[in-house]
Parts: sequence; structure tokens; C-alpha cells
Amino acid sequence: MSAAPVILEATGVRLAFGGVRAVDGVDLRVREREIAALIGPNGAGKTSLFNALTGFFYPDAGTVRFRGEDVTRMPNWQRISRGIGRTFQSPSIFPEMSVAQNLTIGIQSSFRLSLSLRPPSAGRRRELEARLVELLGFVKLERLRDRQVAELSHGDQRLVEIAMSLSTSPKLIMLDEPTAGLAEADTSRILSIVRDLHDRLGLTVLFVEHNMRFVAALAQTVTMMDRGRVLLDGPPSVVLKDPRARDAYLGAEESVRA
Amino acid sequence: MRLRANAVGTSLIAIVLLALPWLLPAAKLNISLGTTVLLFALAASSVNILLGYTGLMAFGNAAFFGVGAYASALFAIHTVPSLLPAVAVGSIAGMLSAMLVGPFLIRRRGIYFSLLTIAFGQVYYFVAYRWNDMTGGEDGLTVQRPPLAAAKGVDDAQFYFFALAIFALFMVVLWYVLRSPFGLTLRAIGQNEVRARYLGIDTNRFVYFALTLSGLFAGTAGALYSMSINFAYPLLMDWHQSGDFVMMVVLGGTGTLWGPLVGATIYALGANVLSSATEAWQIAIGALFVACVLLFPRGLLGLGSRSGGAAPQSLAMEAGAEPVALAAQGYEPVAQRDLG
Ligand SMILES: Nc1ncnc2c1ncn2[C@@H]1O[C@H](COP(=O)(O)OP(=O)(O)OP(=O)(O)O)[C@@H](O)[C@H]1O
Ligand SMILES: [Mg+2]
Repeated sequence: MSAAPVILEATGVRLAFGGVRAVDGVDLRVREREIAALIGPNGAGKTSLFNALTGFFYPDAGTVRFRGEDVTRMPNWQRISRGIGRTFQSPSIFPEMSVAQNLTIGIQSSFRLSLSLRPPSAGRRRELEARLVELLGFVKLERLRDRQVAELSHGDQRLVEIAMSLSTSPKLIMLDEPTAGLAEADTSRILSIVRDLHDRLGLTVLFVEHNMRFVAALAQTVTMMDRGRVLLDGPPSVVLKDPRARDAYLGAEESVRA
Repeated sequence: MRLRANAVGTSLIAIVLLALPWLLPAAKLNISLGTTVLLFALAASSVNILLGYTGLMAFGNAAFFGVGAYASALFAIHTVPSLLPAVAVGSIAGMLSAMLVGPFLIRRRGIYFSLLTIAFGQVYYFVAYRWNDMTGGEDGLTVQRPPLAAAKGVDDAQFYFFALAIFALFMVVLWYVLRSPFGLTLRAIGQNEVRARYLGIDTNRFVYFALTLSGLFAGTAGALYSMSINFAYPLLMDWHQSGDFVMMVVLGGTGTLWGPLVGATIYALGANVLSSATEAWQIAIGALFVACVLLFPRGLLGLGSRSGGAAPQSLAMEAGAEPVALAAQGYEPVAQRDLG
């Protein structure tokens, strides 16, 4: 087992909506520089767990620690400067802005310029531009720089969103179904980028996915949720082959059909 | 391309506004109509900052407008009868009136934000209505337009140019602010607040500053307005007045620099020209408003340009980001249930 320190730790996290216990006492540990996958059937509570971990909703119970700090009730925007980045199940972008502007918002934020009423100085502008070019290069979207994001393909929007989440220089990036709704070609683009997040940028990655080939290709550890609880966790070779994993997926499918 | 189109448009507007004191009499209209258009446009711009750029449905801006109107009138009556200080006092009072209610508003979004702005607007209205000794209650305050410099009075045409200078100044300020990192961030919040928060932006703080800026614009417009008509009265603060300002923005184009001016022009022409022709002018304006909302939600100026500003969040929802949909349900930026 790797001895890397734990970067994100959830203990006994619960989150309910009315009577629905979306997250029902989850413990989760993600180690630094690890690629961790979160899987489970539809409605298992994966997105809800992301929401509880990132402060989209505060959990009803339990604690969330990030790099040793208790962030359970820290406003979501503050966690970003602590080093968390996140994408959403359907891309969360600034639809009426260009790709460059979408990225600039986060770059300005991490440069602590967002409140400035004056255009940035020439020196600052060069720094902003350098970072923008770097991010565009990372997701290979240079050619779409001045295009309005609403006009882009779904796959390109996902890449823009990943670059946006990187714009604040996170230590941990959380991706909620990065390949949902994408064709094969786009899926492999995303795959190589997620790998680069880890290999080239040295980030910790926690992602939710339904595409098991994607999970098998990338994940070092897999946590499987079902009905708000952690059913299994361990290395992919073990979890993905566990009959209980298959049963949970089949069970969920049957209950959808019923 | 767009830059050149904008420059041409702005120059045209400048020329028309400068020529208005000669154009209006030629059309048998009073120059004070031009002043009214400018001041309504400035007040509508204050709504535009919130509605058009930050994506907040603000229905109480007439309160800030009215506070500006009363403050400048009271200053001119009770202290130094001088135009510029009176307007400055009104501007600051309008800004303070927004800063005062800001803390109650910044955690609310969607319909809750709207309802609270109406409620606070009505509070200001009732204070003006009831506080007889100070505001003259229902009768309002009559104020003589103070001189600009020496002891010489300011006639209506001179006042028009005075208002135009201040209007131009504020438009330049707005243009400048919108291009700044702060302005870009406001527009980002207007398009997708959740994403803005997940980029580390304390959006409540930005909403507060947007309100402050909006109060400054509305207060200035109100201050000039009471100096223009020599009168301040409670109905200036009524929620109908707020609704009229919103209507001007939507008519002209939310999230565009000149939309409020276009909207205010249509509105003032409707009120002054059509109203003498037919009692039903409000029906005509209302029909135009409905047409705008249904056919071109970005208003008349929004027809040509797609980018530049934000549509109100309800419109931006078409982009389909799930978190934005929450905004329509009175989404609280942190979480509906756990707001600290
Ligand atoms: N904001 C919300 N309000 C009410 N119920 C919610 C909310 N978010 C999630 N739920 C409910 O919580 C349960 C878990 O949903 P969640 O979206 O977390 O599942 P998921 O594992 O991400 O599923 P999927 O794979 O389909 O994305 C579901 O029953 C869902 O309806
Ligand atoms: Mg989900």
C-alpha cells in the first residue's frame, strides 16, 4: 500500500433530501497523487457525495477534512483557494463568454485580481496571458480560444470545464462523470487528459464514472457506492471483479425497469 | 469589427444627445423631456448593473432613486443651495441606502431576492410617506433648483447639459468597470453563479458591491431628477417606479451599455407623446414590453449582439447547467438548508 498522506478524508458523511438518504454514512480517504474512482449505479449518491465534499451542500452529519483541515462547514468558494477543483455532471461553464474569458475568470481569481476595478497592469496581463496559454495548451483548445463556449461541442465544453477547474491551481481535482454523453473519440481525449492531470501536473484526481473501461484504464483505487453507502473499495482489479459490484448494478437496473 | 460598430453607435448617440436641445423644440417638445430621458436611463442603468450583468432581478431600485431625490432636495433646502454638492449628497445617499439593505439581500437569489428588493423598496417608500416633518409626507418637498456656481440660476437647457455631463461621466465609469476584472467577474456570476463560486469567488461579496454601485447610479439619477423637476415626492420610490425602470432595461436590452437609454427613450416618448394622443399609451408600451420578453429577451439592442453581457439567469438557464436550475428555485449559494 502506498504511504502517501491522505489529502481528502470524509468520515461518517450523511446528506439527506427529505426522506431520501442520498449519502448515508460514507467514509472515504483519498491519498495524495492518487487517481481514485467513485463508481456505483444511478442514484447511488456519487454526485451527492461530491456535493457534500465540496460544500455545494453541507453534510447533515460527519466531517470532511482536506489536507488536514476540517472544511466540513467551509463555504465552497473558500475551499477552492485551499486547493480543490471540481467539474459537474453536466458542464458548468459561462455559456455567453469566450473560451478565453471562461478561463480568465478563474485565473484572475487565483491571482486575487477579481475585485480590481482597473485593467491589469502590463506585467500582470502578461502573467495572465501566459497562464491562459498554458491552460489552453493543456486541454489542446488553442484554436477555440475566442469562440463562445455555448457554441462548442459537448466534448469541447467538458474540456473547457476541466481547464476552468485547473485555472485556480488545485491540488485535488474532482471530476463528475467526465465522459458522460461523449463519443469514443472524445472519451479518449478526456482519458489522456486525466492521465496528464496526474502524470504531468502531479494532481490528485477523484472521478465519478460509469464507463468501466475508463475506470480500469486510470484508477489506482476504486470506491463503489450503492444506496448512499460504500459497498466496496480497493484496487480496481479486485473491486471491478467482485460479484457484489455486478449485483448492485444489475439490481439498480432492475429497479429502474420495474 | 464589433469594436468599430460600438464606436460608431456610441458616437451617434453622443451626437444626438448633444443636438437634442435644438432637435426637441423643432419637434415641439420640451427640453425637459430630454433631461427626463437621461435620468431615467441612468436609473435604468442602475437596474442593468444588477439585472443585466449580475443576473439579479432587482425590483426596488426606485427606493435608491428616491433617497437620492430627497437627499439632494433636503440638502439644497437646508444647507448650501448649490447644485453640485446637492447632487453629490444625493448620489452618496442613494449608495448608502443600497449598502444599508445589502446585507439582507446578498444571500438571496431568484424570486426571494426580487421579493426582498420590493419589500425594502416599500419600506423606504413608507418612511418617505410618513416622515412628514422631514419629507413633507404625501405632499412631497418643493425645492428651488440651486445655482451651479455664482448666484446665477440654471435654466432648463443648461440643466440638460449639466445632466448630460454627469450621465456621460457615469456611462464612462460603467464602461470602464465592466471591462475590469471586477466587471468580468460580475458577468460571470450573472451567467453561472455556481461556477463562479467554484472558481474561488465569494459571490455574495460581489453582489454587495454590485448593489453599492447600483445604489450610486440610482441615487445620482434621483438627485438630478428632483433638481430637474424641483420636487421630491414619495411615489418616486414606489415599486411601480421600480417596475418602470426594469421595463426600460428589458425594452432596450439587458446587459448592454446603451440598452437602458434606448428603453428610457421609448418609455419617455410613450409617456409624453403617445399619452397626449391616446389614453391607452400604457397599453402600447405594455404590448411592446411583452413582445420584447417573448421575441427578443435581450431587448432591442440585444438583437444584434450575442455577447457583451449576461442575460438574466432565468434566460441563461437554457444552457442547461444543472446548478443554474437551482437558482430558479431560490437557490442559496451555499445550500438551501444550511445557510450560516
Ligand atoms: N438536490 C437534490 N434534491 C433532492 N434530491 C436529490 C438532490 N440531489 C440528489 N438527490 C437524490 O439523491 C439520490 C442520489 O442522487 P445522486 O445524484 O447523488 O446519484 P448519483 O450516484 O450521482 O447518480 P447518477 O449516476 O445518475 O449521476 C437520488 O435519489 C436523487 O434523486
Ligand atoms: Mg451523479
